[in-house]
Amino acid sequence: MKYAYYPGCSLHASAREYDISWRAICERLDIELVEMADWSCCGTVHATSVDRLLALALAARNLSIAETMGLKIAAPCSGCYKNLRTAAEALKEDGDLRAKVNSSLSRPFQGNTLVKHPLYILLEDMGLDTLGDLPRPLHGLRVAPYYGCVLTRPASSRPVDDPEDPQGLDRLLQRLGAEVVPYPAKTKCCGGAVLLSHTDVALDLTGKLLKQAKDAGAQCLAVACPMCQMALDAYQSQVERRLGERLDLPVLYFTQLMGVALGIDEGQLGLGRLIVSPAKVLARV
Amino acid sequence: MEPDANLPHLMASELDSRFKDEVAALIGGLDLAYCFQCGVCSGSCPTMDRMEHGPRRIMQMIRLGMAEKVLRSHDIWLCVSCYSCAARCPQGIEIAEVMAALRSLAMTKGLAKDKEATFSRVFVEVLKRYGRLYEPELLLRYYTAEASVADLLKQAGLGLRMFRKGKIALRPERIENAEELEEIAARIKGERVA
Repeated sequence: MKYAYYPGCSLHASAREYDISWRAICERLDIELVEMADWSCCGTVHATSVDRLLALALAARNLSIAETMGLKIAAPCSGCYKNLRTAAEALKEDGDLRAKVNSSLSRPFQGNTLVKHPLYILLEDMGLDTLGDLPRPLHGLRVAPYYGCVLTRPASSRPVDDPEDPQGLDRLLQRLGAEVVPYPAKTKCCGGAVLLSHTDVALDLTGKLLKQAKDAGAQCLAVACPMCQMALDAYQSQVERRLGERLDLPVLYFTQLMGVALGIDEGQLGLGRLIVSPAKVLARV
Repeated sequence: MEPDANLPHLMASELDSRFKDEVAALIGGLDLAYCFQCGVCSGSCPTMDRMEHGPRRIMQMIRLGMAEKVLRSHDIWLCVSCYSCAARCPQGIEIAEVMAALRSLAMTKGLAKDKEATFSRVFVEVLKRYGRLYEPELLLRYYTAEASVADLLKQAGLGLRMFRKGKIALRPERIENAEELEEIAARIKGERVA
């Protein structure tokens, strides 16, 4: 299996541990990643707020790079994934829109690539039954899966999971031997989109969901998006001050947990880069 | 159904009958008339408690032509783009996309007065300069534009912790030809005018 890899800005900076751990498990599982040459920022929600057509053009520019490679795209940031996926769908569906956007590009969007999130690459393209015996199953670890918003929304015409009650991350964590903790907020928003402009709003939202996960008995959270991870991990001490309560909930990328279960050396998974240390909870497995 | 007592009271002369079409055109001509004001969107919205109107009333205000009230509203900037409203709308209206269209209209018309509007504008400036995000410059430009030293200081401790964890890039990454993005933006602008 071979993919055009679109890391996105976060995985080259604040979320390098997601990049490191994703590459590490791909190497172990014989998934080949070829980083797209000269990829540009997807624009996130902010470019759409400024100019929807420009946001679509930015996405199309990136999609067309993968098309020249003749590969499907692997996009680990849910924000990038959503932008690239929905742009590809919209441009395929609407010929006028495609013509408008293509007239701005030096290399036109053709509509023959597919955008995939690593979680669903593992679940659909690889399949969990190919994993075999795990060197270090996550037995005894109680994990709250956190999907966030745009991994499963807006719903696609070919949905990979339920938009409001997805199961993919639950299934992966169970396969890794973890005990999956159910809690209602698993697809509720972390407020990442307004984390810097309306920090108090985001802190309210992250506070609610961290508290729910904690009360449900979780020892850590598993996430699939660098914006969610930042809100839940880096801002957790501010949430604790607001709640007047200690949470101490490590927020790991699912790729890091998978790396641990696959027996990959912890030093190769970027665990030390997390703000809330996962050392104590990982010592249990 | 009870009339909405909190709907703004405006004179007919203050209404813009073309507004709903202007919004619809931005999101691919979706017919906003499908909305029957059930309120599932507002009931599903995670930031509803911070909003003045919420998505349900905003939808009604669009249809009534309350262009300026809608475009000046902070509600559209409090939308966190979580798509819960769209996932649940019984009429299949992409309400989160409507909110995004309203934000871009507010930007174009110079009516956007919210911290998130400033953030989005500065974000795109940095994106066009490098082709990729460069957080230190984004934050500096944002806090300067908002003249918000207090907000900056509030996050200084976090910035330091992230720096120590190597989460803040010292130098910007650039794509090979960042001018390409300026050119794309210019051509897109031409498309919209055409």
